[in-house]
Amino acid sequence: MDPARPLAGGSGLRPPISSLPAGTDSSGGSARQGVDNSEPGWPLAPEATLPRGTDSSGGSAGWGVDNSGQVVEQLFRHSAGRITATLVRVLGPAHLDLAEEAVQEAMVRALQRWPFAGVPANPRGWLFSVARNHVLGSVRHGAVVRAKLPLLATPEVVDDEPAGDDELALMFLCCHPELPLVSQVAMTLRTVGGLGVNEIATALLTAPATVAQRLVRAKKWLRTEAARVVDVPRADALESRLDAVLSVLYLLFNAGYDAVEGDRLVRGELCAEAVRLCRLLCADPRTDLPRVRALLALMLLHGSRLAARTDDAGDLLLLAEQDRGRWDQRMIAEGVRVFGDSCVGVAKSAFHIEAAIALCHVGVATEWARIVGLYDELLTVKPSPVAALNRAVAAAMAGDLDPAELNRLREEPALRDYHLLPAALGALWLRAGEPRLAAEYYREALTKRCSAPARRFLQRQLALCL
Amino acid sequence: MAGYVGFLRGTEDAQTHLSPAEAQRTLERYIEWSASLAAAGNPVGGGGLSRRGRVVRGLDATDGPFVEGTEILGGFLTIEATDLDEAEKIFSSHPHLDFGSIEVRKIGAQGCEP
Repeated sequence: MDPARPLAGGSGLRPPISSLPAGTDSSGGSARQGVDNSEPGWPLAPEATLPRGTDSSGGSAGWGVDNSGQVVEQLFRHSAGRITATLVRVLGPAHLDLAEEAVQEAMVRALQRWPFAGVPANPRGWLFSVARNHVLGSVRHGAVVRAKLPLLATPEVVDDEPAGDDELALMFLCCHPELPLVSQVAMTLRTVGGLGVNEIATALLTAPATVAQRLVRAKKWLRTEAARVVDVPRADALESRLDAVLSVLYLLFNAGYDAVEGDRLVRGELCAEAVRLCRLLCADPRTDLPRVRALLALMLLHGSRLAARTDDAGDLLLLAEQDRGRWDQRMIAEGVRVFGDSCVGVAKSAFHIEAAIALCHVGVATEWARIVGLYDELLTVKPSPVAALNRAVAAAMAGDLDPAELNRLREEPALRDYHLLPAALGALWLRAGEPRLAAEYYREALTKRCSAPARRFLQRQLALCL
Repeated sequence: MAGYVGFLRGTEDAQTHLSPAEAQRTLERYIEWSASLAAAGNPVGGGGLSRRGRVVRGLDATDGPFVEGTEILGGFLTIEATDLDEAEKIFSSHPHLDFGSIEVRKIGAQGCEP
């Protein structure tokens, strides 16, 4: 049995777009039955909120959410970002708070009504109407709102058309260079990605109170910059501002890939949202750049394995235990194609290297030595403790366990609260035939914040050591 | 089998702090609860209720809400069960219990049963 567990494979601010230590499992057939007839496992376009889970294979394809409740799938997350984006365009960034409050109100109303009265035929339109009415009824913002009222009442705003431009604009607003990077990330995750404070804190390896404070400050900054136009920046400013947006999408994907809160480890919808937003960037000629495509490829390649990462009870599976037949071959195929499309021009971004690593992991057998080489490359382009940890683990899997390096990583402040570090050490020592030492690390990992399935996984691994 | 109704109560702000992601999960859980019960042959009925209403007493009417201060009656669900114990058991798995209470009553087939 392969004691290694999914480990962080990301670089940069947050852990794991994980590299799953693949062990030596090369058995599983790679093609899913009936894959040609199935729906893709995720929304291909912002509108494709309905058909998830209709694939004929019977397996829950793609994002690992079960099939009931399809009608509303992704609805809140998609709608929240889009409605907020549209309201912010109309009201101006100074009124982001009001826009968010309105969206909140719409969601609460939906929660109080839909479970009993059924989901309306046009749920997004319903949400927009409630949100708009809330804005119009707002006393606090009365004068502003009255001035904007004609805009809000126009049919094209109410229309249920894709609001990609508004969302791009909101993303770029949240990623404004005058905000600290971490605040940019927090703002985007909150406003466009629909994450709560706790989820953001987890994604950023920081405390919820810190996130809340950052959000408050960022919004205060927005209020003082009320005159600023919300729009996608001009071409000359785009380059510098795009990277912040990409970092944020990367984090959003990670937040879903290894969700730390709640009972469902694989929060496929977050990953799908990150992919959706990245597609928005790829669909716009101004932002359709090689590194954007590389990020999309990276997310597709990792996303292809999402459904296989947990069993029916939602528990984490080791790669050796996973059914490779559940890997989404369509996503892999698309990821490979997009990766090919990203390899144009001369610039090789960190996303290119990480996509190459992801590509190694969807192969039949994992070439650890090659992955170590790619991590070396990544560490020169974009050094981070998490990437260093992944390199160390990949090296161990390649037969080159380096305890000194792992101990050095334990001194890294950024990894102090990171449950995957002691978990990795536990896995490596278990693998090296030192169960007592491994048990200590698993116990330490259990003292860190992590999701319920991850906790069960750690307990399961700990039991193996005893 | 008899019909039972569950009144879903909660404070008005119980769900106002949910992020879209959390609200999404909550909505899915609510709908899944009904769907899985329906799949087991017990179709769930119900309806939403407006936040405000009126109480009619004699010739006067007063504005609701009708229970103590901050609590609101958000909606109701109807199910089939053999007795109150079973109905309680069924409702005890409802995700609404994360936010408030559910009052379970038998729908009297012959007027007001005890």
